[in-house]
Amino acid sequence: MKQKIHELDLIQRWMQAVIMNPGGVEEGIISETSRCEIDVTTENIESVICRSRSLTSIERLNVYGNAYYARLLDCLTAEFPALSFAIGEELFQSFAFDYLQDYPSTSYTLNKLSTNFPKYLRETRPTPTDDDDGQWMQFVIDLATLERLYSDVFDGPGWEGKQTLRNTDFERFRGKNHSMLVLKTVPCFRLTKFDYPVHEYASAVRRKEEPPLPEPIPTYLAISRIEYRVRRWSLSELQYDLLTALNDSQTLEEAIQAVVKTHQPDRDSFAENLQNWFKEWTDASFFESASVAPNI
Amino acid sequence: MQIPRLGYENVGLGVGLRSLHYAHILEHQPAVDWFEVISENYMDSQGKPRYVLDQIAERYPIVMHGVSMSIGSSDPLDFEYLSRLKKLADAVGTLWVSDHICWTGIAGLNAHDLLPIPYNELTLKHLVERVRVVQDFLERPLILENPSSYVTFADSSMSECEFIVRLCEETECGLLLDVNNVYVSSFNHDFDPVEYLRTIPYRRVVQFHLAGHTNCGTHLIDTHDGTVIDPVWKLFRLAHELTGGVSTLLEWDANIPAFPVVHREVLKAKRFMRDDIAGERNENEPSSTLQEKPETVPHPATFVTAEVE
Repeated sequence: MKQKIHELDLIQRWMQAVIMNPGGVEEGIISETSRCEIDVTTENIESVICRSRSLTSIERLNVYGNAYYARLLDCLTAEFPALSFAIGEELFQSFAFDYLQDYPSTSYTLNKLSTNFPKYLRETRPTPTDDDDGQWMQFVIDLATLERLYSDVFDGPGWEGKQTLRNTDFERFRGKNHSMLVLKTVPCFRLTKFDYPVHEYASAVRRKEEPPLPEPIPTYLAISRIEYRVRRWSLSELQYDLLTALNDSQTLEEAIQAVVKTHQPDRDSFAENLQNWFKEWTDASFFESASVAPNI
Repeated sequence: MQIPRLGYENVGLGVGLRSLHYAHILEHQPAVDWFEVISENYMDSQGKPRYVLDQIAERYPIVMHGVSMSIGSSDPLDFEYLSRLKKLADAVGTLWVSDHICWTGIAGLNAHDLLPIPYNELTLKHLVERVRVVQDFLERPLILENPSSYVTFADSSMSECEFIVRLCEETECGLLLDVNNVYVSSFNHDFDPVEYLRTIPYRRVVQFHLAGHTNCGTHLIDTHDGTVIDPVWKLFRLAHELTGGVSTLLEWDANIPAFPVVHREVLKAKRFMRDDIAGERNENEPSSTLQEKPETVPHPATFVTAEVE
């Protein structure tokens, strides 16, 4: 008598558990997860998957099992070229393999596959010991964060083809309104800080160089996109704080006062620097527009 | 009588758009009849991929080919996905929308693979219902592709071919006949590819796919990493005769060469559309090279990496 056929969702839950098992298909078949769905073993697997002329049922399932991790590791390696180079492909794939088990894809697009990769590296970071102060892992996390940020900026919203704020536009606000200006950054603009100069390292790898691992240096970056290519600018800590304040919708006056209070720059040179910085930043299309904050 | 190609035009010989070729296509505007794009690479893009697609859609006919609809999954249909798919279809004026007879994941996960379903009455009913819902939602026929597959299920009670015939009859969907997939699956599952081609409802075939594959000796894998082999061209010739000719596209997704090489490969199809030389011309063309351990894995969804200055 022919056996009763399985419900489709049972078959699919079973097959997914089998091919996604990190220990391989055979381990997947005898895992509790798959046996909850269909209780077969490697001995009676042919009651679910038929053998072919040349391959056993397990060998046939292996085509899917082998491809599952290999395919996603290919994608992650392509997205994190600098990190893969820095720590070596083998170690990178080990991190990525573990990541895929904790954060399997839940999206229709591969663009979101690595969204949680920097977070995963932070979550699984070993506790510093007397022998290992954890600095190397900080470099790994910084580099992963930067490369994921590049992906976000590359394919996220941008401002191409639209007018950005020019330096000369500030003329319109000369006088009493100037200090009450609120600047709006373009949607692809990001500010970030790292313990390592990972931007220089990542650029060197992308130029096919073989850079040495850098020494830690506090690193402040602005990242944006111009003509559909991602670009990054090194900032001083003061510039970073100033842009952060502006990005948080503080008025020009509030932002300047805050950084003056924190950094206490030389008054004369600071005034001159500000003019130069805003020229650089408007030339780099950091800002969409400026408006005068309403009096509250 | 069924209208050939569901009434869709035969737009000629096309190439799958891949990011590696963006610059070449924009600069040289090659004489390609049309491009097929992987829908998921553009549905959410607000960066270069979408910008390039918009440029190309101004100059060439576009067809959207999806890899994540998961029409065969037991998970509920993802209407957010379908909304985005429809929005892109309307924006780029796609000629038609295609995907695969497969599932890609369950319980909210996506394996990013084209996984096979058992072929039986239960799964047919499941797919028929879902195809109807999707067609109503998208307000156009869904064009479904026969997948390459590597397993068969003890639960199957009909052949893939019979399943496709009945799916088409009951939903009036179209077919994207992947000739390479017919060859790959016929080898893996020991069926006659010629009989398969003669059985499918060929007037419902809207498009052909051609691609290379990897011969592992004991089985074939649909890797899209090389040229089309002679036995697949021969099947293409038969499919062309049966259908009277439909829009034909070459997929090349791994070890991708320069654009002119890819384009030349699809143009070879012209030889097999001419009865006078078709038979003898290709006897000496290569069949697949044995590669017991494949160097590439199938990548249904191509991955676009960031461009950084």
